[in-house]
Parts: sequence; C-alpha cells; structure tokens
Amino acid sequence: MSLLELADVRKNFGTVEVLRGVSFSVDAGSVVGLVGDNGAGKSTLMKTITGVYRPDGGEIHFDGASLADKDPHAIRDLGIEMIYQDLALAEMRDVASNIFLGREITRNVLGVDFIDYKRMEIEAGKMIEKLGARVKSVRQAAGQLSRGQQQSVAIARALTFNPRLVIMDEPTAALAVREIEHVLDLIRNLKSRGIAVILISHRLSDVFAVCDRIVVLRQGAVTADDPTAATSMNADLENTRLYADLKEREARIRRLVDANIMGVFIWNFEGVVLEANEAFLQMVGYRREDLRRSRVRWTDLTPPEWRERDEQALEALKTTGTVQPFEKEFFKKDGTRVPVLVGSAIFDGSEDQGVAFVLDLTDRKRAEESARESEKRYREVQLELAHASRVAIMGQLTVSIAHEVNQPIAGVIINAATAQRRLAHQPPNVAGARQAIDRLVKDGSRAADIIGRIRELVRKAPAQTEELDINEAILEVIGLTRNEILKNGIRLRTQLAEGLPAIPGDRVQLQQVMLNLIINAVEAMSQMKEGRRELLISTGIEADHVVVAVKDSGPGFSESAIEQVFDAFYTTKSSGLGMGLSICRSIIEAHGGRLWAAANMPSGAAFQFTLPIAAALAATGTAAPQAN
Amino acid sequence: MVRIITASASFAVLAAALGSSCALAADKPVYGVLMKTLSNPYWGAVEQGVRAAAKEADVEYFTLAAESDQAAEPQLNACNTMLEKKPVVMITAAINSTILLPCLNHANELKIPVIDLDGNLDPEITKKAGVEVAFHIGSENEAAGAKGADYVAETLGKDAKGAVLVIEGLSGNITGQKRARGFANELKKVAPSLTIVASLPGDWDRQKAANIANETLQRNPDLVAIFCANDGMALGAVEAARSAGKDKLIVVGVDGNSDAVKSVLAGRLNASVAQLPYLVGKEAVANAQKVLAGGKVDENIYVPTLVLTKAVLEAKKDPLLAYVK
Amino acid sequence: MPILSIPKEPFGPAVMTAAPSAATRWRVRLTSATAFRIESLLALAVMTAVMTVAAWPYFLTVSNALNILLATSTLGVIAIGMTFVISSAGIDLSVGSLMAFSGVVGCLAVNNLDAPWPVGILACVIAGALAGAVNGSLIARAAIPAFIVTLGMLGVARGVALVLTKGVPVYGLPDPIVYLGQGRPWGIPAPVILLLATALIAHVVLIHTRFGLYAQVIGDNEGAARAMGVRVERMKVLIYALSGGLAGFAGLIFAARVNAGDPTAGSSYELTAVTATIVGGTNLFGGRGSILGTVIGALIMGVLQNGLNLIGVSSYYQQIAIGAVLVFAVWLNRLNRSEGRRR
Repeated sequence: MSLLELADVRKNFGTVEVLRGVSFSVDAGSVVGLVGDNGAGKSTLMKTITGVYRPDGGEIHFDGASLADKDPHAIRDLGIEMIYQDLALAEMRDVASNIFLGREITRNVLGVDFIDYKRMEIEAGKMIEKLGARVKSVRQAAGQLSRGQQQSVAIARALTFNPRLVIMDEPTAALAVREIEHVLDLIRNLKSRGIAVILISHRLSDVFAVCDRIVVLRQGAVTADDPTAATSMNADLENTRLYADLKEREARIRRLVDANIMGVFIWNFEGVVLEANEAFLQMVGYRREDLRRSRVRWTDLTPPEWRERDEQALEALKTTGTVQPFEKEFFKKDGTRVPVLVGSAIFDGSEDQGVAFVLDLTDRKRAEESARESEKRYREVQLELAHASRVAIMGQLTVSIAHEVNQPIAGVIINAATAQRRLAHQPPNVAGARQAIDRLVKDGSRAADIIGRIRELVRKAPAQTEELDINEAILEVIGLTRNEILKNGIRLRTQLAEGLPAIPGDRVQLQQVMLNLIINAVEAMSQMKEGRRELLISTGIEADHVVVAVKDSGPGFSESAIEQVFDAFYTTKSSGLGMGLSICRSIIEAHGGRLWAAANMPSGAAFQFTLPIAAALAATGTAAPQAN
Repeated sequence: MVRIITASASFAVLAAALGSSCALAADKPVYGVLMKTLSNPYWGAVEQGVRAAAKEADVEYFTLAAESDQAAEPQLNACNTMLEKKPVVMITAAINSTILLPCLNHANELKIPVIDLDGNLDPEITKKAGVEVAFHIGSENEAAGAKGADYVAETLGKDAKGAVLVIEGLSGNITGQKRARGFANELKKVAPSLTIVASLPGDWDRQKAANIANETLQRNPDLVAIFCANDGMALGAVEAARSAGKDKLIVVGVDGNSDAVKSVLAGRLNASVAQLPYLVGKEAVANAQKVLAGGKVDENIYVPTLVLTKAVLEAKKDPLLAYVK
Repeated sequence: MPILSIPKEPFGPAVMTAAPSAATRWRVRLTSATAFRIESLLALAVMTAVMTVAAWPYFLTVSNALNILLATSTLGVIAIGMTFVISSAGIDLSVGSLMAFSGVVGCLAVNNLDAPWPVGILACVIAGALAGAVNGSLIARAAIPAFIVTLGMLGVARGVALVLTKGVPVYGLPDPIVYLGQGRPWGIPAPVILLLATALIAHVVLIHTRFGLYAQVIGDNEGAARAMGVRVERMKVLIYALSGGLAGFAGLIFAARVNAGDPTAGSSYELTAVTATIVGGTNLFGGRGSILGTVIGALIMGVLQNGLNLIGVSSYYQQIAIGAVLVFAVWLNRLNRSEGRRR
C-alpha cells in the first residue's frame, strides 16, 4: 500500500471547481514531481493534503489513516511537512523560533509549558549545520536573512521533525544554481532514507533530475501519471517536457505582462478585450471591473479615422500572424485620446485570438512637439544673430567699403570725362571714346558688383544651398576687405589650391565666416606696435574635406582662451557683440564641417575650418539653418 | 538617540517655562481647588470667584481639573497629586459622589479640611466612607429647579394646562437630577394642571437637547414649557422650539451663563435660573478662611439663585446681578 | 520530542553550537526577541528629571512616586492586555468600557446579590474576559475588523454599565476587596503590587509560553502561523479574552480603590492604553511586543500627567502633551522599523 493515497479528491471555492477528482498515490521513499500550469490546482491540492483546506469530496489516506477530519497540526504530527513557496516564516522571530514554529520544545514547570529557547537554539543550530546553510546565528531574525538563507530555514523546519512525506512548493524558484544543486541533493538524500517527497516545480530539469514519477495536473484533474519517467524518456515525457518548457516560457511572459512596463491585452476578432494588464487599463483609463464585465472592446477604443489602419493590421494578422508595430490612437474612457504604438500577434493554434503590446506615446509626442518648437526657435534666433553680426561687421567695414566702391566710381567719373573730352574733340575721337566708355561700363559693373555683394551680406536672406567654388567665394571676401588690410599695413598672402571640387553650401553664410575671420585677424594685428604684419589665407584638400585656414602673425591668444573664443558673448574687443566666432562655428557645423583655433607658428593665431565635399548636401539640408 | 535627547530637552524647556509661570510663593498658605473640568464656562466663573476671594484674603490657590467631566480616575489622581503640595484646605468639586473619597480620606488624615464645592458629595456616602466634610457649598440645585417651576407657573398662570418637557443632565449626575426633581416637585404644587410628559437625559449636550425638544414637539404639539437642567441644553431646546414655529413655548435653563444672558436679552430664551458660580467660588474661599481661622460655619451653605429674565436684566436693580458673569 | 538525526552524509554528525555568554543572551533577548527599546527607558528617565526640576520639590518624593505608581496601576494593567492584542496586529478599543462594566458587575454581585467577596473578584475578571471573548469570536470567526468590533463593544459595555447602575456609582464593597485598592502592605499601595505582579506574569506568558509567542507570530505573519498549525481563530478569541479579562481586573482594582462600582470609570482609557503600549515599543503593526516596555510606557504617561498636575498645567495642555507623546512614539516606532529593514 502506498504511503499517501488520493482518491477522487474534489475542492470547490463557491461555484468554481478547482479540483475535479484528483487521484494518485505516493510510495514511501519515492519522489513524485507534480507539474501543471498556474491555476491547475497544485496549491489547492497541497493545502488540501496538509489540512489547510477541507476537501469537498474524495478520500485522502496517509499510511492507511484518513486525513478527512484532521487539522493542520495533527497532519504535521502524522509526518507530512510542507515547504511553502512563500516559506511561511515569521520575519520578526529568530531562526530557532521559526524552525520550531508550531511545535516548540517546552519544559514543564509547575504544570505550565515554558518554551525552552535554549534547547531550540541548540537543535536549530544542529539542523542548520547539517544542511550546510550559511546562517550566521540561529538568533538572527528571519526577516534579515537572504532568500537562500530563508529557504534553508524553511527546509530545516520541515526536516527537524522526522517527516515521512515532504511537500516542496517551488523550492528552487529563487535560488542560485549552486543552491539548487544543494536542494536536489537533499531530495535524493531524503529518498534514500525512505522519505517520500512531492516536488512541485516549474523547472522541468529539477523534476527530471530527482523524480521517480511525474504527475501532470491540468484544470483540476490528473492528465498524466507516469511512473517510468526516471528511466525512459518516452514520448509522453517529451511532451511533458515541452509542455513544461512552454509553461516556463509562459511564466516569463506572465512576468513581463505583470511588470506593467508596457500595456498588454488579449483580444479576439469580434472586438472584445479578453484580458489586459494594469498598464494597459491605466493607459485607456478603464478599471479591471470594466474588463470583467466585458465592457472594453478594442473596436470601440479606436477612433473612426484609425479604423482603416486597424483593418490593414487585421489583414496582416490573418495572413502572416503578426503585425509590425504601428502608431495609432485609442479613446480613453473619458473620451480623450491617447497616442500609442501597437504591435500584435495571433496566438499559435488560435483562429480568433491574439495578444497586443501597447506603448503609450503621449510623453514622446509631447517631447517631440516641444523639441520641434525649440529647434525652430533656435534656428530663428540664430538667423537673426547671424544677420546682426553681418550688419555689425559691415558697419566696421564701411570706410573700407566706401573706398572700395569709390574707386570704380572714380574710374567711372574719370572715364566718363575722358569719353566726353574725346567726343568733344574735333573731329571726335570715337574710337578713344568707345575705349573710355568700355572702361566706364567695366567700372560701373564693378561698383554694382561690390554693392550687390554688400547687400547680399546685409540682407536677411534665407539660407540657400548651392554648389559653390570656395576659392571664388574667398576672393570676393578678400576683395571687400582688401582696403582694410592695406590700410593697416598688413601683407596679405593667399595660397589657394587649384582644382578644388565644388562645395555644397550657403555662399552668404560661408562668406560671413571668412569675413569674420579676416576682420578678426586684421584687428588683432592692427594693435601691434611692432613686428611683421602678415595674413595668410589658404585652401587645400584633406581626405574628403576642403580645408580653409586664416593665419595671422598677431599677438595670438593663450592656450586657455582657445576654446573660449567660440563661446557666445566672449569678446576681447570693446565694440564687438562677442557673437562672431560662436556664430561662425555654428554655421560651419551646420555645413557638416569643423571650425577650430590654434596658435600660429612662430606667432599669432590660426583659424581653420573644414567643409565636407560629398554627401554634405543631405547634412546641410537638414542641419543648416532653414528659413520659413 | 540624539533625536530623543533633543525632543526631551525641548520638552524640558517647555516644562520649565510652564513651571516658572505657575510657581507659587512659598510663604503664603496655599488653597487647593479641584474642579471637575475647565471645558465648561460654569467652572470658569467659579475659578474667577476663587481668584477674587483669594486676592482679597491674600492667599495663594492652586487649581487642577480633569480633562472632561467624565474623567473620573484622572480626577482622583489629580486629587492625590494635589495633596503632595500640602495645601491648607481642599476645595473639591467631585465628578461623582464616590470618586474622590480615598483622596479625601487621606486629606482628613493629614488634617486638611475638605470642602465640597457645588454639592457633589452625598452626605450619606461620605459618612459611610468616614470622610469628614467641613462644609458643602453651592447653589441648592433643587431650589434652582423649584425657582424654574415658579417662573413657569407665574408666566402661564396657576391654572394653565398643557404638557411640560424636562431635559435632565448626564444620566446619573446628581446635579441634573436634583434640578429636575426640584422643578417637578415645585410644579406639582404651584401649577398642578401642567403635566410633565417626559423627563429625559440630555447629557449636558446642546445638540442632544435640541433633538429631544424636536422629537417631543412631534409627539406633544400641546407642549407649553421646557425646563432644562442647564443653559447649554436650554439654548439648544429654544432654538429647536423657535424653528418649529413655537414662539410662545416657554424655555427655562439653569446657570445664567453669558450665552444664556445674551439669548434672554435677545428675547429668545425666556429665563435662566442663575446659579452665580462666581459667588460660589468666592464664598467657598471666604468660608474656608473662616474654618481655617477656627470659626464655625454652617454645614450646608447655599448660595442664592436668581431668575434672569429680560425684565430683570434690563432693570439692572437686583444686587445679585453683580455676580452674574 | 522527535528530533531528526540522520547519520549519513552530507549531514554529518551533530555538532553542538557554542552557547553565547549569559549577558549577551540577555541583551539579545531583551532587545531583539522582544520589542523593548532602551530609548523608552531613557525617555522615562529624561521626563523624570525634567519633572523633578520643574516641580521641585514636590515631584521627587517617595509618596509622590507611590502616587504615580498608584495612578498608573489601572492603566498599566489594561495596557498589558493591549500589548498582547497589538502584538497580534489587532486593536481593542473596548478596554475602558470593559473596565467600568466589569467593576460595576463585581460591585453589583457583592452588593445586590450578596455574593461573597471572592465571587465579586471573579465576577469582575470573568465579566471582562467573556466580553473580550465575544470581541475575539466576532473578529476571528465572523471576520469583522477588530476596530469595528471593539468600537461596538465600547458602546455596548458602557451602556450596560450605565443601565445596570442607572448611572449612579454603586458604593460600598467588602473590606477584603477594598484592601486590594486601598491596602498598603509594606507601605506600598496594593494596586501597585498587583500591577507589578500582573506585569511579571504577563512578561513570562508573552515571551516564554506558546500563547505569547503565537500572539506575536500571528501579528507577524498570520499565514505562516496558520500553515504551521497554530489555531489562529482560537488564539484570537483567547487574546481578546485576555485583554478583556485584564480590563476587568483593572476595573476591580479601580472599584477597590474608590470603594465603588463606577459606570463612568475608564472613559477614553483605550487611547491612553494604546499610547502606553506603543510608547513602550510594541510594534504598532504587530509581530513584537514587550511587557516591560509597556509598563515603562504607562509610567511615562503617569509621570507626564502627575508632573503636569504638580506644575499646575491646565488639563488642556496635558491633552496636547499626551497626544504629542503618542505621535512621537509612533514616529520612533517607524524609525525602528526602517532601521530593521536596513540591517
């Protein structure tokens, strides 16, 4: 006869049948694995065996005696010990008290049973030592122990009282691999001693490692009871393994669902939301109560304009089984909308049900909106500043420019006078006059050119990207500043590399950078009392970049100031805005290049910038200032 | 730990401050005065009387009270504590007739005369307990009740007919019982045609009295007068009666506290039998002084009562009005 | 007692663990196994010192010390019962009313029914215990929250006491009973001796018997207690019966002190008792209790009230002080809990 025999055990909670006639038996010295998914009735079954619940039907016999009218205490006394998954420890009591909880060692004095803490501590210490548990002191409160230590205490409690059957509920659930081995060894040891074990575990590897027999419980009934598990891996067992693996996976998914990191709901094609986690309910403002009453329908949650998108998604689900995440909106219970990202898949082997994962995009949308807003404002401000800076520099250049414009105009006047004189000559010197008028036209267009370029610079122009010849652009700027350079007694040298490729960029902005750098250099050198005044402007090519350098022989700047010069509002000049170099850097960076400063050898400062040759169009297209 | 010390220290400072503000001059004799509770204007007025008399007699006095007029044991503890201060006399207003007896016994042993303030001790019980009371002082509560009945009879006429409601104090409280009893007995004599339809405990509670008045009016629309064992309840009852449209209904209270005076002057409450607690406190100290000086005083000293009506208050002629605070 | 001894590896031979020194054991027992906190003792000392100074020279005298103990006796006995209740994560708001009810029952038994005095004593305690058992049964078996059940009993017991006496104290008890309240063996008031004896027994029961241990374990993890075969429902009935019985005993002491059964006795004592218990270090949320702590807590309340009375502080401020002490104690309690977690 078996040690434990269950015959047609039934248990209902209200109208819910949790156990629908469970029958199996456990022999002395055997290890029985009990597997089944959550809700299969494992816990209820165990609590029915240990007397916490009374069965509503059937018979449980232990060693021939019926357990029907026994309370938990009496059943423990018969030799059935249970190690609960939650361990059932009193956290404020010490280890010894927990091990002996419910069956304290007492000493009778004058007819009163006094708890003998001393003996309990000694015995508990022995037990802990036998188990090799790393519990420092049996006087430590259980609540202060690690999970592994608590597990040891719970096991020690079960083994202290010569049990004949030990029921373990997920004893390895929260343990490290080494500790799991320890627990499995312990189970083998119990078996060798003739103690029966019922092992409930989701870890099928544990079950296979130690069990003689596996009982599968499903929806309150035994669906498989295989005594040959330990010796042969037959098809049933393989099925069991797959089933258990599946369960393990399900447990993991369950954790994902319950973690409420994202919204998850299960739906069917009829439009009903069958189940949902808290995260989803919160997102759409429903309560679990609503769900239970089937009030939540995903079709109703979808605003009309998104129905079509849903149709497409359903099409995809029907044909491929999944649908890639897409953005849509849901109605909340209060009628407002929530933007979401939804992905979904149909359950394997299910025709009309699936699971959907939902991410709340409210925050992201809001962030995007505000990012767009601030980006736009930043661009506008930058454009304004660039303009202000150009105007400021042009102001500084007025004298030079006046001179510059004056020369062709003087030429115009002189040539016009010459032409007049030659035409007034008797006979009119027509050829000479035409010559003079030709020069006049040339001077005139030169003046117009200069003025045009100045206007170009001063105008609040929207950014325009064009393919431009950097050398030509630089020469134009040099033309504008030549007078300023000469006036300050500076010798200008140019080393412009030939055959540079065209660069995509905004002419006005790049010329502004050059203008800035040149004026800076000129001003720096104008303050020198002695020494050579030399300005070198060079271009070159380096890998896939064009490099432009503006080097002066001025006083230069200290190492620490090198990066500061690019900060907004940094200035050494009394009249400047302090925005120049800062704006220059943002312009160059918007073009996908780099602007930096270094000391020039033997003296002065060197400003250099690079501009990418190819593939820069796309970059400038998005990063360069855009005007609206 | 540091926190505890900090908290204790701040507490110490507080206690020291309280202590110094209440420090007693050691050379003057100290009169111990134990009240029921200070959460009642009546006892506030008694204390004022005590203060005035103590000033006149140039003695110190030391007052204690329980947190409510139901905190019996705390009052006993306070009584014991008071004995530690070795007062020359104990003027006590016991919460009930038995609670202070062990303490008063002890006072007797220490040869400290015991004075029953406001007549809360039952002579029969004190005799059994062997407690010697120098004198009982207070308004005669039964007389106060009787005066209320006289007023009702005077106002309605001897042969008036109708229902009368009596609202007593806290159930079991002797003061309230005496007032109600005095009223009932006197009413039988002076206006035998008026019938008391109910005598219910209002627990000294204004709200509760209002509810009782309302409910009785539902049942007895012919109600002509309500007598309440204190002013608080009378104020509740009068508001209930007036809001029920019973403007002619006569409502009488006992105590003559300031709220009641206001209500009488405003023409709402008909009358309050003033107990003159100020005078009670003053007389208690004055007579205690006599006892201490070896003089003889009556065993029961009754402080007169005064029926406050609108006419009396506006005439301002009665000399006792000076003691209505 | 069957102790498993398994001869085979990996368990190995049994090894005796070294027993720690007696002093260490004591300290550990006192502070970890019970909820006693040295802070409450310190608070009592500080408060005593403060009162000594503030109410010099009246406070620090033998007779005043006995006064304080006397004044604490009924409250202390009630708070001891409350310690068991709160340790089990419950609350008993009916104790003040039960004290009055039991005292009245005892006095009526000897006065109106001419019962002999030992019956009167038993009547007090049994009346309280029965009412407590009713509390416990409703809480454990009908699963009504303790707060509600005992709040109901607060009203019922007080009402019955007033009805039985018609609101008037029942005066006069047999001398042997009066001795329990007014006698002074060896110069010490009898209620003080009764309090200390009760405390001693209660301490042993709480710490050294299954009853006390289970009361605390139920407050700690009721599920664990149930799983380990503790008859939780029965325990709860017993715990509330004990609390009621001790309230009855306090009612007896009080009646003996004033030689009367007073239906208004013990009004609002439930709150003072809870305060004393919490101030003493018993965990407000159950799991750990300390009788020693509770006695100290009651003494803190007694010293506070006595000192303030001696100084002449108005009863209004006294209530403020007592309220503040409670909140302060609960704050300490929380502090202690979070420290426990950190460790």
